[in-house]
Amino acid sequence: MKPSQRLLVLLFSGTAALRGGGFFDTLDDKTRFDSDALGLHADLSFMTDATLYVPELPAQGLLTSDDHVFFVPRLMTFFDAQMGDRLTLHTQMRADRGFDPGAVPDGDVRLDEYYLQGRILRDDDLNVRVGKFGTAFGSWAKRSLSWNNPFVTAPMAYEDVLTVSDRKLAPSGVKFAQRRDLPDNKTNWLPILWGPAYTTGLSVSDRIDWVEYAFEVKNASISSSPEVWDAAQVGFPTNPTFTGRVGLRPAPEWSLGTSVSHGTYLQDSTASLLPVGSSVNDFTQTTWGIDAGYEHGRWQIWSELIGTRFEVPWVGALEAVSGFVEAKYKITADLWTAFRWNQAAFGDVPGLDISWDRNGWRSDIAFGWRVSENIQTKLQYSLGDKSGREPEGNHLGALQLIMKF
Amino acid sequence: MKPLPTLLLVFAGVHALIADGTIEGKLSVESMKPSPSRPGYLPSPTKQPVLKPESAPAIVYLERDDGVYPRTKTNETVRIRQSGYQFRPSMVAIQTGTKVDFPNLDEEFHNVFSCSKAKHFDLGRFRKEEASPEVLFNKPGVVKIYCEIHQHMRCFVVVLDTPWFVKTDAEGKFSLNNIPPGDYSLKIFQPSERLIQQRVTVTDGQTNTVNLTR
Repeated sequence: MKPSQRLLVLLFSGTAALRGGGFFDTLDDKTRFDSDALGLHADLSFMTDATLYVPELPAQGLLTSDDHVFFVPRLMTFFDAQMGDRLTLHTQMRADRGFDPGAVPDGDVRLDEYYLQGRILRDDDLNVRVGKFGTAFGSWAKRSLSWNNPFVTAPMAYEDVLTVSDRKLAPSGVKFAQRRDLPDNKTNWLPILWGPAYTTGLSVSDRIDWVEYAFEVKNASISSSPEVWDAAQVGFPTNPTFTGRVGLRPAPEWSLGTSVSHGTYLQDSTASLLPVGSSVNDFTQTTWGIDAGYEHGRWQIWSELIGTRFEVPWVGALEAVSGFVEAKYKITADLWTAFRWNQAAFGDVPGLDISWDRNGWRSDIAFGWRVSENIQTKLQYSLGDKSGREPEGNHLGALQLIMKF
Repeated sequence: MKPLPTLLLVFAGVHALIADGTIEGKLSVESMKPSPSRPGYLPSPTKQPVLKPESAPAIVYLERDDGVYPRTKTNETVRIRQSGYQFRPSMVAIQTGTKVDFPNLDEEFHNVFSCSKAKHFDLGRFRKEEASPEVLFNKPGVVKIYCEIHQHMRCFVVVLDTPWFVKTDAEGKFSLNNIPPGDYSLKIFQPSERLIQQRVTVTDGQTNTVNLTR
């Protein structure tokens, strides 16, 4: 047994000792600061994941390891501060093996989220947010943290790598179409929407009775890779991405929404490779989506349908549709199960009678155990297939232990 | 847990009366720790403002050495409301065998649950005006209750075999009535989860006074 696997076994066996919660309560007490005199309330909190992936290689989604068993520890540190009645600050720092598992095998520390949020009017929910934060598109970003996600992985639309790239251009449609028979190039290719897309910018959100909305202007497209999310490091482009979602909450049980996003997605490094007279700003990703959620009693159900269109140099417009339906059911007070069906379909390469990527599906099933109010563990199995495509593994198993305090 | 109000027991005057004796005392508040949640300070917004949590009192109770108690308080159904995104009351003492219901008075879902050893339960998402599920507490112990959706919400249910318990009032005063004469352990459970205890004897026709310190 590898040291990392031994560590995971040790972590699981140690959870029983922590079930009482007293340790976490004490720690929580000591990481909080409140001062009415200063009008400042601050809280430091933590979440740790220990995840064991067992993929059939090459692994599905954004798991980039080529190991048959891959261990990913992660520490998330959250700092929240309220200054006065209207101003809040939030940061999320992560130490792990890359934003996506295995992206930085030797370890990485990042500030994945940081933003300042102000409530404009005293008696209203109108908020303005500035910084680096998850996208307003769809409904999954809000429950993407491991504690809230019934699964270990994201839905296919949020992690299944397509053949379109923001940095490697194919010289023709024919050459581009050949990519569909290659293994996913996770370094250079993009999904429809990359994880929660912690890109940088400004947002406005509000809730008026049972209608809610959020609009944002960000530095990168929703499909962009984590390395270009932080405007403090890569700058803010002249053509940003505009994203918005309008949602309805007609009753506590129901959540309905529609989202749109439009912006450029190519990196500046491709400028010299573009057709004469064009620039990176001429090539955009336009995405629309609808989402619906229902929850009551022991059930929580979410679904999304997302369509996207990439304008690709030398190729033309490429369209894809991807969606999922996800349900979580609490079997007992401590145990729950979840099932998710994902499906994706692709349009043809312009001028060719061939789809630009392989149509595919994936079913995910998970079982979870809430050990205590601070600890839970999940076991997931995924079975997927892309029609006629051999290079990607069909199976993935994952075991995850999460602690928050 | 988040900081909770703590009480320093400065003085407890215990008077034991004959047969149906009464035990009285007073706890003085030394300091109040910050509440577990500041109104308006939440990781996710709520539809209505978050109101302040109730100040949690202390639970004072008597235990007998033989562990045999009359079951005088198990027929009632105790109510813990969710109102203003807080549990109200935030601390309750009940006798084993008592049922508790959890009506939701807010406009949004709550999801009440506990992982405590004395009681595991999860009521799922339920809304305002829905019939509240009843939970039977049949094992003694401290049950910490949370809302899965609003993580700042918390509540203690102190499940006791003894029927001789009382909550202190806002000034820290308590009065335990109709106590049979005998030897007891007087225990005080504080919001900080600290337990203070002292042996007391209730003797016919006499008043016993004890001083308890942390």
